[in-house]
Amino acid sequence: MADDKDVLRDVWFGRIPTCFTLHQDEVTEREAEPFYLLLPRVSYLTLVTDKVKKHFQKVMKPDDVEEMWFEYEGTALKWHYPIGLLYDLHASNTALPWSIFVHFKNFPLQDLLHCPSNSVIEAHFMSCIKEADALKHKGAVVNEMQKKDHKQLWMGLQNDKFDQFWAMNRKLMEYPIEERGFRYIPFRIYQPTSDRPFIQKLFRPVSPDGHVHTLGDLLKEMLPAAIPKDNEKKKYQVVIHGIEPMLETPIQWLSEHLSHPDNFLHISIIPAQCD
Amino acid sequence: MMSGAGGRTECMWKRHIAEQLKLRDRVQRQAFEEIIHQYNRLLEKSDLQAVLSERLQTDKFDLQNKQDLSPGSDSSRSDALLQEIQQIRIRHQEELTELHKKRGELAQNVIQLNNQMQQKDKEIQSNQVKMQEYQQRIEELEGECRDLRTSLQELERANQTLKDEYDALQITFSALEDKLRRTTEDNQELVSRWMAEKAQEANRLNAENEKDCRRRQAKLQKELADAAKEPLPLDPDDDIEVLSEEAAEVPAEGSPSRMVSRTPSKRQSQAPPQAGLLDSISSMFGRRRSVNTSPESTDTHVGVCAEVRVPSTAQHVFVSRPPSVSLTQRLGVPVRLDSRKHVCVCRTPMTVKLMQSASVRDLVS
Repeated sequence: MADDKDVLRDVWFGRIPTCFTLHQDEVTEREAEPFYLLLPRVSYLTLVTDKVKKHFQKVMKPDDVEEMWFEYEGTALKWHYPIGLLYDLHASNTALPWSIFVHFKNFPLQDLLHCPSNSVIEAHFMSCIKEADALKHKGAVVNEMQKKDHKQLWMGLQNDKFDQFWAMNRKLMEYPIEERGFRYIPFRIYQPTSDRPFIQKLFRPVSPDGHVHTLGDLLKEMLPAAIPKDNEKKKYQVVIHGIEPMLETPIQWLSEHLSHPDNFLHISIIPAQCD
Repeated sequence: MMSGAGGRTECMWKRHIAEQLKLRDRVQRQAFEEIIHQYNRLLEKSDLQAVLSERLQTDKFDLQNKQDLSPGSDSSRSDALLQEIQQIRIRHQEELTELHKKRGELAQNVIQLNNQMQQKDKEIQSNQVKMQEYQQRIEELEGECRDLRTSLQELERANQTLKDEYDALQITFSALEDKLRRTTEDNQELVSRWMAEKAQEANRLNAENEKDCRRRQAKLQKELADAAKEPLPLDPDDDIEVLSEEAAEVPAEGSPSRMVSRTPSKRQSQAPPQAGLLDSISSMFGRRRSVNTSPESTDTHVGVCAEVRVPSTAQHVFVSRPPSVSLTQRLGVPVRLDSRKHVCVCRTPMTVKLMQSASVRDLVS
């Protein structure tokens, strides 16, 4: 169990070194220095970039400043995805630090949601938790919680308080022992090149005949192409929190320990490197 | 065997993940943590420098303007310039140290506030623990309250049952009481009715008796009157005139043989069919007289010889009605004796005795 707790800590305190650079299209009064930041993997872009905004606004005329958004190699970064997922999905295997362009104009409405304030992020975060709990416990746990318990989850994430968050999140991870897991595993499988934003289906942690489902079983059912065939080179990487767990890992354990704070297991399937 | 293999594989995937996470952090976090921290400090510093240099620039600009306005000797001007620059530098130095000091204070502040925050966090946690305890206590008390309420309800139900039973018994009791009262009334009524009937019966009897008596008396009176009407040839010395009258009568009937039968025994045998009680009374009167007098003389007078003897037994017994005789001594119960009707009524509820004063007997004269 001590190992499990360490895993939770490592997942929570995962950081990505990021270099924010003002895009060349933006008009400035003087040259803008790049801004470096260690982004928490489990947080959201717009929640941790107040400093970035302040830094770049200093060199800009107030009139030119609209809603801030981020771009990586031509892709607008969705703030409502966790940062770790954005990095794994778009920038795995590239040189660190992660280089992101900052924009203050031409907000890409078709790609991004507006994020006028932190309350919008909170609403999105809580809706994710509720959706996940609906899958795991038919929503029983999250509905039993009081308003202040919900607030504690959110404040834990917002202020990067591991203990505060997990004191409450622990309840969301409980399940009856005789069931050997959640009702369904809340997961989402993302691909960088896909028409669909993600794959999300009902998947039980244990098969009807009592066999424990693994990450491999999940992928076999959702995205068979992600699993390397015998005698073939690996074509895809399955990345969660910047690592590739073994396919034999039980999906229930993954859901309990490698889920993001929104209680979803965000899995990125990215093309394997050629070399 | 299986569990051992399972354990090993579990260790494998778990260890793999732990190792991968550590490796990830080494590459992505630890390698950059310090650099980024330092970069941000430098950035801050350079920002400060930029602000300062800007101010310096404006100062310089002012100075240049002044120089343009007052062109003096070269040496003195350069001296003055040097001095002024020195002064500016000193001033800026001071300003810088002051800012540093301020920064230190602010850092101190931050540390203090952080400490405070931690303390508050601790307080919050202890408060939460307390709140949970209280919550539990509340739940316990609520449970107790529920238990008490249910027992109260049970008691109330039992009480209600007892009350109902009591009411039912009360109703039964009052019904029975009512019945008893009615029965007693009935009884009384029946008794009084019975008494009345009995009284009526007694009255009737009395009346009949009286009537009978009166009738007899009337007859007697009439006979007496009839008897008195007939003028009798009275012999002052002899009082056998009744017999002689009878003897005179007998020949009037036209049968001399009758004279023989004028013996008392014959009379006796003749009297009952002839005239009933009064007749017999009157005859008795006559005989008594004859008894009182000497019949032998009569017989001798008549000249008929017959067996004659003095009556040895009373031939008639009469019931008399004395005005008041107390029967209490005899009956042992209080008795009201009606003098007029000669009916006595016993007043005891169980036995009512009606009796005629037949117990007292006497002869008429």
